[in-house]
Amino acid sequence: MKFTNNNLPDLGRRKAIRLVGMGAAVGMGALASGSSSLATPNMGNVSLADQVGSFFQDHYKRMSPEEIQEAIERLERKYKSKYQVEVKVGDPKPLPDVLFGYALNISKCQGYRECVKGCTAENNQSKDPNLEYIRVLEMDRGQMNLETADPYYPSTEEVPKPGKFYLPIQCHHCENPPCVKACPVKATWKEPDGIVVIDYNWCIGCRMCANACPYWARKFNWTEPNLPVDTVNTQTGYLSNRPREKGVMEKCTFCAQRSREGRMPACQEACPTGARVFGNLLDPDSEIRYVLENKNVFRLKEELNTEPKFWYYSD
Amino acid sequence: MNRWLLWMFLLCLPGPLWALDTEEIKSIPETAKVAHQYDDPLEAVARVPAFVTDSRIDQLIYYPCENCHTKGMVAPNDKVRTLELMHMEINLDHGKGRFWCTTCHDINQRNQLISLKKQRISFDQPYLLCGQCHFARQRDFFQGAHGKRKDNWFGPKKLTNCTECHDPHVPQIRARLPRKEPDPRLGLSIDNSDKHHRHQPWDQAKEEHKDEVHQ
Amino acid sequence: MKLIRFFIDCAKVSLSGNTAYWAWVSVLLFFISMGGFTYLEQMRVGLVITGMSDQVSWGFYVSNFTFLVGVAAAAVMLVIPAYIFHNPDAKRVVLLGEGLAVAASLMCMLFVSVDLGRPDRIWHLSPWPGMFNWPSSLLTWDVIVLSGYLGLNLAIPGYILYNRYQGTEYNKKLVFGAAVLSMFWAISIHTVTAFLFASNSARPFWASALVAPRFLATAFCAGPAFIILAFSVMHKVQAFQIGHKVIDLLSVIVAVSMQINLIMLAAELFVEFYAEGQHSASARYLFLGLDGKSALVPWIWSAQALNVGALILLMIEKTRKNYYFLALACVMAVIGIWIEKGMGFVIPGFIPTPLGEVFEYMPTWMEVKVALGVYGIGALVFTLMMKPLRAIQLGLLANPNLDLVAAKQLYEQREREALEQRIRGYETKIDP
Ligand code: SF4
Ligand code: SF4
Repeated sequence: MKFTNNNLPDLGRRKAIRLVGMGAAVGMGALASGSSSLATPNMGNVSLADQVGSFFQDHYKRMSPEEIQEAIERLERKYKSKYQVEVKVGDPKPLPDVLFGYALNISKCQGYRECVKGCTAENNQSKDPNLEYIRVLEMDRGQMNLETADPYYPSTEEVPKPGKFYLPIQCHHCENPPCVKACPVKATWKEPDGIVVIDYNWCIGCRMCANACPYWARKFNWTEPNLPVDTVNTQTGYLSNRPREKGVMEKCTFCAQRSREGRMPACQEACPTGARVFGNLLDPDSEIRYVLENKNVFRLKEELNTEPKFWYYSD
Repeated sequence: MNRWLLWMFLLCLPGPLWALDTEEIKSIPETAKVAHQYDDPLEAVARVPAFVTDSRIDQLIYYPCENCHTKGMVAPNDKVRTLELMHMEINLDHGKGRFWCTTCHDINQRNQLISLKKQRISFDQPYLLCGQCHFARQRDFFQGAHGKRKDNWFGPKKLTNCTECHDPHVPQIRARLPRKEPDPRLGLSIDNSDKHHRHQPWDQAKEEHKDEVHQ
Repeated sequence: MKLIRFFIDCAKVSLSGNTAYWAWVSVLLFFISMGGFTYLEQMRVGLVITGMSDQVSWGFYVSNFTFLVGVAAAAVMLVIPAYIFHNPDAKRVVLLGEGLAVAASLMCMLFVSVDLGRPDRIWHLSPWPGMFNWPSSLLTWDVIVLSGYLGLNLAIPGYILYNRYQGTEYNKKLVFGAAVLSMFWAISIHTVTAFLFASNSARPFWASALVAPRFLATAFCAGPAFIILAFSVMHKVQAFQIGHKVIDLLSVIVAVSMQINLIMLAAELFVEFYAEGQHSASARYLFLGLDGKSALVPWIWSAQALNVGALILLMIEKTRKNYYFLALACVMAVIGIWIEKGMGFVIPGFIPTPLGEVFEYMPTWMEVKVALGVYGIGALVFTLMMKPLRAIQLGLLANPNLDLVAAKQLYEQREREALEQRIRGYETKIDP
C-alpha cells in the first residue's frame, strides 16, 4: 500500500476531486447540522464602540469609578435600544454596619406564591416561561423531607391545603457560600453587607456555582431572556436587577437595589401574610434579631456548613 | 365578755382572707409580666420600639359611627339579637359566641372601641384591643415577629394594623387560589404526575391494620 | 529555522495520502462541519438548544469531557513502561499513546468550551487578563492540569521526533524527568476532574471520597482499551506495526482496572442501599428509578452488563489472547465506561435536585451533533499527527529519497539489531 503519491501523473485531477469531495463533506455537514428556525434574539442596535467596550469590560471589582460609570452608560444605551424605555442603572454600595438577614415564618406562609409574583415584577427576569428566584414547596405535614416536596401544586386549587405546609426557598445568602468558592472567574462574590452578587458582565456561564449551591438558588439564562417592554422595571442596580443577557447566571440579590436604600425586598412587600421578616443582623433592636433570639428558628441543610442568612421559624 | 370575744373574732375573720389575697398578688412570677393587663391600654405601647400605623378611620365605611348611633337615630341596644336593618353583612365568627358588638364597641362613645376593663380605644389602634386576649401575638407584633413592617427596614417604623389582614369579626385567614405554578426551561416540560408522597407513619399503621383485618 | 522546516515538513506529510486517507479525512470533515454549524446555532440562541436545564445543568458535553479525561490519562500506561522501564515494545508505540493523549485532552478542552454559556468571555478564565479563582475553584485546577498535560504530551514526543528528524539522539535524562512528571500529571488530571464533582457537598451522589479512585480505575480501564482498539485499527490499515506484547500488556491493565472498578462499584452500592437515606436518592434514581421516572435505568444496567462481560472475556486467557474477542471486550469496556462515567455519573448527580425535584435529562440531537464535531476534531488532529510521526520514525523525512518499502526494511532491520544487541547484553550478564 502506498502512502505517498507525489509522483502520480494525474495529480491535478486528483487534487481537484479531493477538494470537491472535502467541500461536499463540509457542505453536507452544514446541512446535517440543521441550523434551526429558533427565533433570532432581539439584541437591539448596539454601536460597535459599545460592543467593543463591553467585550473588554473588566471585572466589577477591578474597575475604577469612572469605568463603572462608563459601563453603566453603555448598559443604559443598550437597554434603551433594546426596550425603547429609559432604564436607570444605579450602583448602590453596601451600607456600613449592615449585614442583611431574612427570616420566614412557616406557620404563617399560606403558599399563595405572592412573593414569587412580587419578585418577578421587580427583578426583570425572563418572562413566559418565567424565570423565578423563589420556589414555594408544598410539603406534607409531619416531616421535613424535601424529596416529598411539590413545587408545582396547581394554581387552580385553593391553598393552604389540609395536611400541607409551605416552604419558600430562595438564595440564602450564605455566610460561607459554596457558589463563590466554585466560580472559576470570581464572577460571584459576597459583599460586605452579606449579599451574594453576580457580575453579569463577567460570568462565563460555566454553571459551576449552580452545581455547588445546596439550595438550588441559581438560575441560568439558557437563551436570550424574554422580557417584554411592559414588564421592564426601569429602576435597576448594576449588581442586582438590571436586565440580563443570555448565557449568564442570576439569582436573588435580596433586592440590593431596594434594600441598600433602606427599603424592603419585593418579596417581603408582596407577602400578604407577613411571614417574611427582613432586616439588619447587626442592629440588636431589629425585628430579625428579635425573631432569631426569641423564636425557635432553623436553617436548611445546616450540616453543610454554609451558614445561610435565611432562617425559618414557626409559632 | 362572750359578746366581746365574738365581735373580735368576727373582726379578725377577713384578715386571713386579705392576707391570702396579697400573698397571691406577690407570688406572680416575673415572667408573667407579658400577661399583665395594663391599666392604661397605651401603656402597652410605651415599652416597645416606637412605630406608627396607617390611619384606618378615613377608610371605614360607616365611620363616624356617631352619625347614626348617638345623634338620636338609633337607640342604644345591648341585647344579643339578629341584626335586621343594618350591618347584616357582619357574620360574627370570633370568640366562639362569647362576644357581642358591645364587647369591643363602646356603647356610649360610639366612635371608640372599648376594652374589657372599659377603657376607650381608638379605631386606629385595634392592636390594643386584640392584645387583650392575643397578648403573645401582640408582643410579637410590637417586636416585628407577627404582622409586617412596611416600606423600610430602617428609619421610622410603620407596621400593618391587625385589621389590614384580619377581619376582626371573622379573623381566620381564608384559603384562596395561589399564583401561577413554576415554569420549566423554554422548550422543556414538567411531568409531575408521579410525584410520590411518602405515607405518614399513622397512615402506614392504618394500612397495615387494614390488611390484618382483611386476613 | 530548522524548527520551522520541521513543521513545514510535518505538514507536508500530513497533507499527502491516498484516496482512502482523504476519504477518511472527508468523513471527519463532515462531522466537524456538522458540529461546527450546530455550534454556531448554539452561539446564536444559547444553550437552550441542548437538553440541559436549571435542574440538570450539565449534560452530554461534560459527560464526554469526563470520559475523555480518562482516555487522556491512560497514555501514562504506555509512558511508564516505555520511558521508565525501557520496555522496547512500549517504546515503539508510546508516541502513539501520547498522540492520543494530545487529541483527548484537546477534546476535553473543547467539550468544556462548548459547554460555556458565554464562550466570548473565555478569556476571563485566565490569570491575566482575566481573573482566576485559584486555588479555590476546581475548574481553574482543571484548566491548569489539562493544558499542562496537553503541553507535556506535545513536548515529549515533539522533542523526540525533532531529534530523530535531525538525526540526533535525545537527552534521555530530560525525557525521563518529563516522563515522571507526566506520570503524576496524568493522575492529577483525573483526580482534579473527580474533585470537580466531589467538591460539591450539595450533591451527595458526587460528594464521595471514592469518586477519585474510581475515576482512576475507570480511566485505566477505558483508556488502554481505547488504545488497544486504536492500535488494532492502525495495525489493520498497516499504518503501524504494533507488537502483540504491548497489546497483551494493555489488556492485562484493562482487566485489572475493571476488577478494581467493579469492586468499588459494589462498595458504593452497599453503602447507598444498605441503609438507604435521603442521600441515596440519586443512586436509587440511577439504578431503580424514582417517582416513576427511570430514563437512566436501562443505560446503567447495560453499562454494568458490558463491564462484567468485558471483564469475563478479559479474565479468560484464551479469549484475551484472541484478538477478535479482545477487540470485542475492549469495545464493551469502552462503551460500558463511557455510559457509567458520563451519563451514569454526571446526570444522576443532578437528580433529584437539592430541593428534591426529579427532572429528567435527555441530550438533544443538536447536542449530540456538537459532540460528534468535537470527536471529529480530535480524530482529525490524531490522524494529522500520526502521519508525520510515522514518517519520522521510519526515517522518511530525514531522507526524502528513501522509498517506503526500503524505509520499512531499514526500520525493521534497525529494530532487530537493537533487539539482538539487548539479548547479547543479557547473555553476557548471565554467563560471563
Ligand atoms: S444559597 Fe446558593 S446561591 Fe445563595 S449564597 Fe448560598 S450557595 Fe450561593
Ligand atoms: S456560571 Fe457564572 S457565576 Fe456561576 S460559576 Fe460560572 S462564571 Fe461563576
